[in-house]
Parts: sequence; C-alpha cells; structure tokens
Amino acid sequence: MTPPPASPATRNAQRSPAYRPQHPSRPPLRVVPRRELTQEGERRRCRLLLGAAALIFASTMFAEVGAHAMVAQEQFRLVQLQGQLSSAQTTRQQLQQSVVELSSPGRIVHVAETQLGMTPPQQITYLSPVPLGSHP
Amino acid sequence: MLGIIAAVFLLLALRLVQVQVLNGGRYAAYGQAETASSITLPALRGTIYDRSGNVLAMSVARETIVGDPHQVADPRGEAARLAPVVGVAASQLEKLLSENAGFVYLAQQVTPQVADAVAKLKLPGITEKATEGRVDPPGSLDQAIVGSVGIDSQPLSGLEYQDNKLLAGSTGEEVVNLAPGGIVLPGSRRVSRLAHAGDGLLLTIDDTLQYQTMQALQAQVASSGATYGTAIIMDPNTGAILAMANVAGGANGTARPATENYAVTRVFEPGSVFKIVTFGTALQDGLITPTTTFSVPNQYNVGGALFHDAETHPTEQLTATQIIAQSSNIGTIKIAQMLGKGRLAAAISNFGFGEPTGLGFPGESWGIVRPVWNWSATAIGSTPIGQDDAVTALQALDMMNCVANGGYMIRPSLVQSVVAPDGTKHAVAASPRRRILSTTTARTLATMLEQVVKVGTGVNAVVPGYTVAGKTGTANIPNHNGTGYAPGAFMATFAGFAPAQHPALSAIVVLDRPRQIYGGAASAPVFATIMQDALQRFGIPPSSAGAGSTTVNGVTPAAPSAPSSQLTRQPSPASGAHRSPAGGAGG
Repeated sequence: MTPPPASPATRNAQRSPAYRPQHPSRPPLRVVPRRELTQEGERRRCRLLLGAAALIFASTMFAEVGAHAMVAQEQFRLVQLQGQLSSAQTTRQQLQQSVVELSSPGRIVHVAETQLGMTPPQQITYLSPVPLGSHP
Repeated sequence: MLGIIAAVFLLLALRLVQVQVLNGGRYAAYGQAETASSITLPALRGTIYDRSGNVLAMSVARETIVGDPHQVADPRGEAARLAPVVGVAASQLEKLLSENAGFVYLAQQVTPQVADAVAKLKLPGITEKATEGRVDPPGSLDQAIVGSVGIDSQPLSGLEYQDNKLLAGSTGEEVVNLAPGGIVLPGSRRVSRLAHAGDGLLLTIDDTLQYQTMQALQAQVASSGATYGTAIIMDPNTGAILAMANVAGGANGTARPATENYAVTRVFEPGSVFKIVTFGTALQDGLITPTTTFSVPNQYNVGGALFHDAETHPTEQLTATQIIAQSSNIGTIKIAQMLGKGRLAAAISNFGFGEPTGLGFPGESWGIVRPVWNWSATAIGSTPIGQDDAVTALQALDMMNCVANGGYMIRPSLVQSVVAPDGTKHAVAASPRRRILSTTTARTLATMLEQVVKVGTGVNAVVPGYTVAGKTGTANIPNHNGTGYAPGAFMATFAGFAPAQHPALSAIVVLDRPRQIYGGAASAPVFATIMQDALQRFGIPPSSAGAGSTTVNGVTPAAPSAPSSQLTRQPSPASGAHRSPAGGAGG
C-alpha cells in the first residue's frame, strides 16, 4: 500500500531549521564520473610504473657495471694466481731435480766414502735357512 | 629544416644497419683480430725412469733471453748490465745487440730465477721467452741410452728419439683477447685445442747397477788404454737389459762416459765367443757330446789357408769340452766341418746374427753376416771361430742368453712399461720367444762353458761363491780399407752368465784395442766385477750356499781396480730359490 503524499507545509517543516539555500559564489560541484576517477588512477599507476622501471633499469645498469668491474677484478686475480701456480710448479720441478741429484748413486758413494768414511766390504756373509731338525 | 634532420638521421640509421647488421660479422672479426692472441699450451715431455722409479731424464722450466737490436739504443750499456746476470761475456752480448737484426738469442736455457733477474733490469729490447729444458739428473751415465733432446725439445738420440711420439705428447692452443697492458680481457679465454702431456717410460735399467757397471768399465778402459768399451747386463730369462754402459777412451789413460751406445751401434768380429754357435749346433744335431774326442794339431789347412791356435802346442787329443774351454780354433774348425757350410750358415742366422735384435734402438746395426753363397774356400775355417762376420755386443749377448735360458732367443728390451700422465702403467707386451736349442743341449753347453771359467781361458771371470759359465773372445780388427787386419789391434770380449746352473743374470764386456789383448785378461775381470755387483744387487744367493752361512770374499781376483760401487747396496739373500731381477722365476 502506497503512503499518501506530504503537503507543502509538511515539506517546509521538514527542511527547517537545517536547510539553508547555497551561496551563489560557491563553485558548482558535480559528481565525478567513475570513468574519470579510473583514468586518473591509471595515470598515477603509470607514472609509478615508469618510475619503478627507470629505477630497475638504472639499478640493472649499475649492477651490470658492478658485475663487469668484479669480473675484471677477478680476471686480474686469476692472472695473478696463474702466475703463482706457474711459479710454484717451477719451484716443484727444481726441488724434484734437486732430490734426484742428491739421491744419485754417484753422490751417495761420494758422501759415503769422503764424509762417512765407508769402504767397500771385503767379504759378504750370506745366511741360508736351516731345515728344521737338522741341528742336534 | 626538420626534413634535413630527418634525412641525416635516416642516413645514420642506414649506416648503422650496414655496420651492425649487414657487415657486423666482418667488423667483429676485425676487432677480434686486433686484440686476440693465440697462446701455445705446452705439453710437458714425459719423464724417463729406471726400473725402480728413479728419474733418469725429466723436463723443467727454462727461459731463453732474446733481444731486438732495433730497439736497443745503447748496446754497450745494456750488455754491461746484462752480462753478469746471464753469465755471458759483455763483449759477446754487445756484438749481438749491435747486429742489424730484429731478433737475436742472447742466452738460452737459463733458469727462471735468471729470467726474473733479467726482467727486473727492464732493459729496452730485451725479453724472456718461456721454454722447456731437459735435464739428466744423475749426470751423463745413462746418456747413451736415454739420449738427448735439443734446445727446442726436438729429440736427437737414444730413447728420447726412439720413443719421441710417446714422450712428446701434443701441444694445445688457447686464444685470448688482450688489453693493451697485456691483461686478458674477462671472458675472452677459450681453449681451442687441449694439451696432452707426454707419457713417461719405465726402463728395465737399474740406475745403481748402471752406475756400478759404468765405474768398473771406465776404470778398465782407462787402465787398459782401450779405445772404447761397452758392457751389458741382462736378465737372460726375460731379455730385460739391466745395465748398458758405454765408455770412450781418451788420451793419457783417461776414459769418459760415451754419448754413443756402442753396444748396439758398433760391430766387431766376435772371435772365439762365436764358437758357441758351432758347439751349440753340433750338440743340437747330435754330432758331438761333451766327451767326443778330436785330434787337434798345432796348425790346420783349410782351403789353402793355414789356421793355428793361439798358443803353440803339439798334436793333442782333446774332448769337445776341452776344445771350448781352451778355445782351440782347430778343434772348433773340425767340428764346423762336421756341420758343413749350409748348416753353420743357417745356425748363424738362427741365432739372430745379421738380423735386427728387436730392440729398435736408433742407429742399431744388424751386424754383417756373409751369405753362404758368398763364402770363400777358407770361410769354413774362419767363420766358426768368429773371424768373418761382424756382430754387435747385444747380438753376442743374445746368443749367450739362449744358452742361459734353456735354448730360447728372446728379444731384448729397454722399456718395461709406459707411464701415462695420470701415473698408470701399461706394460710393454713381451715378444714371443723362439726356441733355438733344446733344453738338454742348452744345459749341456752351459756345463761345458762352466769349464771355460773353471779351468779354461776365462778364469779371471770367476765370481767368488758363484758358478759362472762364459766364453772369452779375442779377435783381430780389420783394416779400415777392408783388406787384412790391423797389426796389434784386437777386440777383447767376455760373455757369460751366473749362477751357471740356475742362470739369473748374463753379461758381456767388450774392449776395443786394450793393451792386454786377450778377452780373458782384459774383459773377464770386468765381467767378474760387474757380475758380482749385479748378483749382490739383486740378492741372488751364492751357488755354494747350503744351510748355514756362506762367506764370500768381496775382492775379485785380477780385478782392474776395486770399484767403489760395492758400497751401494747390501744383498738381501733370497731364501733358497734364485730370484730373477725381473721378479719372475729364475733359470
């Protein structure tokens, strides 16, 4: 059931005292359409995205440069280590050569005779196994 | 205006496309070539070891100092600073640095320390070039066998030459891009070909025994005034060469290690050592026994030529054993006549004379054997006593090995195994043995050869405590012009093995033109010395060793001079069984 329409006096009573007519110099307000709100948000997001992209790009560039610098630095280090390795291998070879020279038969005989006073044996005794039970 | 700018940009864009896209590869290659540098990756040459793993030859880093005279403004000043560092006379360096050339060698094969010292001088036009040096640590004792390599590692002689393909390996290649300062650009290093190090060789040679043999031979060559001497010690059961010494005689009784392996490169008429062929074949064919008796006059006519024994004697009745023990030429000729020319010639070939031994050593001679169709009327007299054919010392010892090992011809060997760069060893396959004499014949002949050392011409080859079998040889040396013999020039030889009934070692000693001309006087004492050393070295117990103890005098009768070599190792007697040097079963 539909209610009966209110009378004009009733409508005035309803507006008073809160109702005030608007000032004529106030800019006109309007309801912003949702479409406009969305475009503004998209523009803001786009700017944000561009900024982030630029940041990422710049960071990547810095990272790239940094990585290259590190690789170059490691390359220097690698060259140095290879030099050390080569040097160590050379030292090893020389030491090995020294060991071989020091252990040569000629040198051992020389040291035995001149420094240790050793002489060739005049006789050599061989011990042979004795069969079990052969001795009383 | 905008149109002009756009046109310029369009042209630039087109040029960019041309450079980057259309011709990009070509320009990239140009750029690469500007900075790319190819580096040869050296392959380390394999090491040569003795049978115990002692190094006989190894490669070490060396540097070569080179100069570019065009860049040297002050040759005298640079030479003066460089001379004390590299050890080359300043005047010589100045001369080199003053040459109108872009490259001169200033010092070769210097140590890295010397090269570093040169680099610190920072002399304009002087640079160092890395290279490889081959060193022979124990000295020159094994040089005739091991051989040598040149400054650029090219093989020149010996095993270095023979087995160069194994030893050399293969070089690799690396391509890098270099910055102007010589720094390798990051990520540019790429190996286009890998380097493979050379294989090593594990020889059959025993370094200590080689030293002992060298000492004994050197002393005898010096004291006897011989032109040269060679000695070989082998394991007759495997063919492994345990020592191979070569000594060159000098003026005023001096002797020095030789760089030539006389044992395989020099041939000589073997003399009476060759009688083994005649006796072995006659025994094998059943024509004689050790007790077969022959009437042996002082002289004997063969084909119009008069043959005689070394010493004048009346006609004697000698057994075959006595003939070989006394080394009677006439008795031997009579046995050869029983064999006949064809059979004797076949036997000579069968024993490996006139053929390669199989060692394959560079410069090895096959010997000179006259074919039977070319024998003269007197050849049946001269050939069986070792006067027509020429042999190497190794061939003569191979013949003796055949008697020692029970009748087999075995290929001699110097390389035991090949050592891969990772250390794994690959044994060299043994060649099949070829039977020449029956076991019985070989044993019978060994018993007869024992008499040579006991009562015959080889008494100086006695090794106290051991039974020794062997044969002396004294042969004329032919004139250089090919006709007749050089007066007073003889080759003195002794070849034998021990212990006689269970042979574990064999040896030969050959001296060229010693003052004591007879093999029994000049070579047999050296044989006794080196055989005694070898028997002790490999712990082979005395033949007379029964239960209990056996004392053996260390001094060999008539030894040329007591070699100091006996210091090197005390024997470790095996318990009863004879031990082969190669670890296999002896005799």
